[in-house]
Amino acid sequence: MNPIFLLTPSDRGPVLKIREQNLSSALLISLEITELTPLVGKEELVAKGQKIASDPQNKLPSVHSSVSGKVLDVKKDFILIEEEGERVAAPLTLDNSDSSSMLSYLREAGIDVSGLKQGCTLIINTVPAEAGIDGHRFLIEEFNQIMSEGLDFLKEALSPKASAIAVPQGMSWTLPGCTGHEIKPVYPNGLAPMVVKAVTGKEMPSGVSVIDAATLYRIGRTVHGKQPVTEIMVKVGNTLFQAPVGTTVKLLTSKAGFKLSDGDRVVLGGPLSGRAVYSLNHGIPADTQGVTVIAGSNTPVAKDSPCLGCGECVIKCPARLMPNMISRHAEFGLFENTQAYFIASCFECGLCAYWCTAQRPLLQYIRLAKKELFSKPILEDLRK
Amino acid sequence: MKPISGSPVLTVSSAPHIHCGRTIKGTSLEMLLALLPAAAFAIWHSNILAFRVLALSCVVAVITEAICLHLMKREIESDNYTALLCGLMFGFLMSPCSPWWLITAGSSFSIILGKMVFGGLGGGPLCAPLVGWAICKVSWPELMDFDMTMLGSELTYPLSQLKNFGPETLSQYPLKSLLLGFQLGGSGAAQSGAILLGGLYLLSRKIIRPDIPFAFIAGVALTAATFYAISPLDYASPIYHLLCGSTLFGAFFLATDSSSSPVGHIPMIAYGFTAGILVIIIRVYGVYPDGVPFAILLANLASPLFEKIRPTPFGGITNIHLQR
Ligand code: SF4
Ligand code: SF4
Repeated sequence: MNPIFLLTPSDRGPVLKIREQNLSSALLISLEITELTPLVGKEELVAKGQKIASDPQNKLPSVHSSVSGKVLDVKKDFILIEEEGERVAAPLTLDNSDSSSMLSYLREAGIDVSGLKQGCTLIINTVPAEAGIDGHRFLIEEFNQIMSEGLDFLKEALSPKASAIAVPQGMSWTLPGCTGHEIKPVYPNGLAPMVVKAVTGKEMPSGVSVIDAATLYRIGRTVHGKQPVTEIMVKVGNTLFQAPVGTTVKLLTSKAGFKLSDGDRVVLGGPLSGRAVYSLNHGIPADTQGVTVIAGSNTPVAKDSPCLGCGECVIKCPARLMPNMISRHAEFGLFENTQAYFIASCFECGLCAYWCTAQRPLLQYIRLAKKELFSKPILEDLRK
Repeated sequence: MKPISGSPVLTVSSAPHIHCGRTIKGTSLEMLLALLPAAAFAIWHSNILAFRVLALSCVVAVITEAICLHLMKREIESDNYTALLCGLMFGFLMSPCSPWWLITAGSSFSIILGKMVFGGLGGGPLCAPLVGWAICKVSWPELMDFDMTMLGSELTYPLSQLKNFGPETLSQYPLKSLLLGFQLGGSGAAQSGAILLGGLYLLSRKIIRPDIPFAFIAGVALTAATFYAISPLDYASPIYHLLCGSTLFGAFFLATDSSSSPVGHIPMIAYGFTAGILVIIIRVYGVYPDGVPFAILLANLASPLFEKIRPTPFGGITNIHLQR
């Protein structure tokens, strides 16, 4: 088995606490393409846990300062904060009268709640999304109590029909009140749609919410401490870090022992579905679970070559699609046509582009087509 | 350009950030390597004559592709060896005694009409070398008849013997000599043993998938066995059909041509099987002794139909707006 696809969690190893190491560099809280509005100005003093950016649409999670400090710079896509003083923000006020205010409480605390639905089947996903992104193992084994607290809160907010926990085969992780499901630890089985299928037996059913272990931990911590969680677990290479949100990837990669040179890729997440950053000064966002470093080479991963029709992508696609045809249409801007090839079923695992003999940017084309289609009005509901 | 801070320039890409390492060039090189033993056997059997055919065919194919790309104002891509491969495969189908102009015409037709008019690499709906072969076969039938061109050789063409004199003539061909290529036929295509070796090599290297070749062989074997079971006196046994002519070359190299074959396991198997059945039908009822090229061309035409056989996508048919 190709180790790239192996999702068995690795041994735990020690946790490196970045704060105890050194934090001489300023924190870069990234807002990126989220279009959050900064709530602080230059030279302003912020407290640890203070909300510094929020979404005017009230959809995306807010962003908080992970240190007490002074704002050095505010730009469209980041806020730079230098540590200073010992201020701590006032605790969040929780209004748990009804479900929607409980969820907006979580969103205010920086947790993405967009996928959580009332009366759903709740699935806690503890399978690593990709090989090496297994820092949550430490959380599950050490902080089961906190997680249960988070689960209780979610149960109260969502009143789910049933709760289940999906664990990688061979792991004995449990949460009270959840039925356990073992998942074969091979990529892409840890991705949400595959986990849902393994647990419910149905493909993309409505009324199922999946939440991953690291997020559940953050919910538990938030509810427990009435403060937004500003320290997260990040796995970089073989090292597990406990790091404040906004720690630069430069600090993390150098502490993890990587020597970066020109042409290398630094990816938030795993190599198959993660997001590459353009600068080593990029601060990690709150939902980061791992950083992957890919040694550079002069040959690009994807090329602008025509499809050979070899069918490799079709055979490797876990969603049984024809990425070759989808990409051929997307390539020429015929985005509507991609619907005839069921682009909606693609869950962006990246396997098609990984295996493409012609090295076509298949997933890239698919994402482009999806984005274009999303901006079109809804025509009809084909699901019966 | 280096930033002043001295930090490295990172590469930014969209996921996935890694690739399995398979390339067009690598794949064509492996295929060329797999064809080498057959080419060597062909040259040995024809006393160097085949070398002339194969070399000329390769050179013409590469030059034709370069000229077409130049006319289309596109980058010359001979360094991916696909044109070389196409030329070599065309040469494999031709008799070692073919005149030079026939090879030149056929090889350039393969590239122009089989590949470039459809937009180049990956665009052809038909297996490119077979297009050139078919044009030659219908335009200059007497030159393409192996019996006519090989009067000087002591070898004979088993498939036309079978067609003209019935299956009992096949007893003069021991299986071992068929495997070693002691038969007339396309210069490389008739080297059954060497072709089989190359095909198994490709399978072991995962360059081609087993679906099409095995379905093709199964189609040939089952249909031939059916005829043989009906009347062993009138029809040849399946093993002869597999080892004579270009059956194995078709199974491993022509039918698996990526741009003209369907994608997906079931379509691939259906396609290979259909092509295999057609081979025997043409051999038994048709006027052409070796049914392989036309059988594969016909199956190529049906590829889009086979491709319609699709499983339901993950989660059924959904509208994109309902996701997320
Ligand atoms: S990313 Fe590619 S392989 Fe993965 S589900 Fe989508 S189309 Fe299929
Ligand atoms: S793997 Fe690449 S070359 Fe092969 S069919 Fe798919 S898109 Fe085309």
